[in-house]
Amino acid sequence: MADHLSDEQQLESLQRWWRENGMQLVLVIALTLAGWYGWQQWQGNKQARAEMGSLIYIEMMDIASQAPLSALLDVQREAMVEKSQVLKKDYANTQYANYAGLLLAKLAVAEKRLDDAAQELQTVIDNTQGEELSYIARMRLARLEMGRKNYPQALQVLEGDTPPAILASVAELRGDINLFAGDQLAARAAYQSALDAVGSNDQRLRALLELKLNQVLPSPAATSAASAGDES
Amino acid sequence: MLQDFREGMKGIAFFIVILIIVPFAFVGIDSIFSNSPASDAELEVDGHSISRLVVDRALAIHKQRLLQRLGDIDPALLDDAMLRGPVKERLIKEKAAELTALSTDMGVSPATIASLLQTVDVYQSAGKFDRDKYEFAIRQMGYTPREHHDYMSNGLLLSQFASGVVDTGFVTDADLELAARIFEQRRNYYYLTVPIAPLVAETKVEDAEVKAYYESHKEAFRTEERLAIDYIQLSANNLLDLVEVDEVMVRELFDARQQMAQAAERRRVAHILVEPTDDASQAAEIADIQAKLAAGGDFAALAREHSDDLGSAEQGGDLGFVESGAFPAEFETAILALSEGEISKPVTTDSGIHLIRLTELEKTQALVFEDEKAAIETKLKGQLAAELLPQKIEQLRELSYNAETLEEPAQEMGLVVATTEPFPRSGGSDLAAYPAIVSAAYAEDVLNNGYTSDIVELDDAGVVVLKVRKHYPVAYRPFASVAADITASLKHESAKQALAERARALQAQIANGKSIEKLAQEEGLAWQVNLDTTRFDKRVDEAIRDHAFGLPASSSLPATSGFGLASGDYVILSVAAIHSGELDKISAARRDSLAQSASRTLAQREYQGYESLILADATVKMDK
Repeated sequence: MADHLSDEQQLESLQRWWRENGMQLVLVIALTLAGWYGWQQWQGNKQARAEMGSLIYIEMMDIASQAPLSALLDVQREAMVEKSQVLKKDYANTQYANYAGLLLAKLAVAEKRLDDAAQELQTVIDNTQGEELSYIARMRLARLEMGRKNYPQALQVLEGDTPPAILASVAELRGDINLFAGDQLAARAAYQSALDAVGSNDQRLRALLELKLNQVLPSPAATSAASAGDES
Repeated sequence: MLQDFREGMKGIAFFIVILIIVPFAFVGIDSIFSNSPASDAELEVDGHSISRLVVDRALAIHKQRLLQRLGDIDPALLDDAMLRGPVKERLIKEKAAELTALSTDMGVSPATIASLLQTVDVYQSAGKFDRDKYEFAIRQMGYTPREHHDYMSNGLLLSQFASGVVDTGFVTDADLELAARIFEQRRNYYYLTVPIAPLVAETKVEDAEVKAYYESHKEAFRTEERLAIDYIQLSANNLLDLVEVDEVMVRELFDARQQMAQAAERRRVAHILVEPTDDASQAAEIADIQAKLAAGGDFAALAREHSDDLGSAEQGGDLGFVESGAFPAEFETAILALSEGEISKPVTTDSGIHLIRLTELEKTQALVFEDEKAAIETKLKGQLAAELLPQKIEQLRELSYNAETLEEPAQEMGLVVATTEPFPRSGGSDLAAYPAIVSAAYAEDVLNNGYTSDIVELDDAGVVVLKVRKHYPVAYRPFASVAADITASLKHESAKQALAERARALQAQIANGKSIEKLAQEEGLAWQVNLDTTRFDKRVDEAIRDHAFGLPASSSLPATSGFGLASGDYVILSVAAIHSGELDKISAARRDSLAQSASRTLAQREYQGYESLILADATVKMDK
């Protein structure tokens, strides 16, 4: 059909189309380009920020790995704390900020400032609502409360839903807390449920849990020689 | 109508083309394809695919590590099908962790990767990072630079992600106290041993009983089918004595090596270039420089002053070590004629006239014929033998085909007949370890008809022909040879029952308040006491110690228990005291190291938990 149109006609129709739609087209292209450019910029910024954060984080962890935290030199400690504060402040809402908080908690424990440690962990928990990391931070806080002899608070931190992935760890921790709190029955039940939750292929953990359970089992009934035949 | 539609279409098509072209201009075509979930995606985690290639690579690396760790293990034992599953699981976990890291704004700076690469020995030459060496090395591993960069970046990201949990774990004194309570615990226990031997001696077993046992457990006395074979083995090594190497051949190879060594000599040169002008001034300048050189002028200084090769003039004319073929032929010929420190006569090339100085000659050690001779002979013999091998294999095939015995072909070919130990269908040791040998030996024609086997090829050990020497079919060990064993085991079984009865009576006395010590004395039994024994004390009987520690720590004491030992003897044990370990009694140094290791172990468990939590929240598709 194209053959039926002369070049002039073609040109004319094109011009007409351009008059009608030209502005719109230019506008759409410009908007698309601007949007695309903006998206790239944003991505680039995000990436650059992540990379900067990683550099500070690596430096911070480098210092942390040089000695037990209680044995750091003053300069080292200062530099480490400064970097972690930068991460918490300038990189808020990134994983680096959370990890900085976890490290500061560890430092506080090493320096026997258990109240400060609890504060740091609580901040991480508040910042990671609904994220997987919050469960780890909660277990740490519970362990810390146990260390502060705040047994009811320790148990309270562990309340709420427990995903199956960490069921054994949480149950074991409950057992520890109850054991210190002097509630042998509750400790026994907790250790037993930890044992039930742990897979049969994790032999080391099983052995540890069995040792803990051994601490709180009831006295055996007058030993049965009946079992004699079964063993050997 | 149609016309309008067509024109409208033209507009839309134009618009669409613009839409498509614009992004391409910025990103390039490859980015569209490289990120697309290609058809070879094997796994998918939250919409991000893991390709078959990535799985294959991870599998190869995993196998390599296993081999390194386990040492000399048959690579064939590392079954891909068995390893693939765990490798895939790990990749999925890592992918899920990576996505979490990225979504929480973690990243890896290219500077970090670069500085890491700088520290790797194998990428260095002369103590510095060598880009060529690096690229060569990673290509060997099958990576493009881009892929390797991503691989490293990913690894660093994951290690950052893990370290935030693994390196921030802690324990408090409470955890240590609990650990001390359990692991530093000490127990006092008494036990007496009731031996089984006297009861075994008293027990009588009727012959009829033994016979009946043999009949009813016959399968237990079955012997496997086995086969011993005679064989002739032929490999290039057998042929070394048959091949001759003469002096001329050795000489030839030596000369070739000599040339190779010389070609490896490296020459460092410097030059002064005078570009052609009108002939007179050029020649005059050369003559002038030559005169200055002859008067002891410094070549480097003169090069700086006179050379028209501006690039090298600043370096005193230095061109570095010259590669063959990098310069015109006249230039190179002149270099080869120079000895170290010597300066050439004027050399004319297209660039102009050069004066060349050989500044450094890196010699390679000249080879000495007598030293190399033996090695060259061995190598040549090996080559000739390998060339001869196919022909000899053919001869062996012809001679052994239908041969009554293997002796004949062996003698004719100057080989020997050897014999294996009997081996079952599942294979044996030495030659019988080759599956090809086992299946050839158990083949119908060889096993049942007594034929000589066809040539069996063994990758690294040449070829073999074999013949059955003796076949041991499935059989049962005769009653006479096993009667003694059966009698002993029946006696042991019935003694065990008698022992259990006696132990029950003894334990009843303990329950009534008699001490282990007193009971043992009355009964004439051996007894022992272990005081302050720790859970891991190596000086005491470990089975008995474990049992003593197996009784609950909260038992009311004394707690008594009886159990059989592996030897059959029976032990009655009474735990008299349990002392919990106390943190205060542990030295500060040991306490610190305990805290370190405990927090590390705990943090690793926490990270595993973290990984599992992430995995549980991810959507995984397998085997697409």
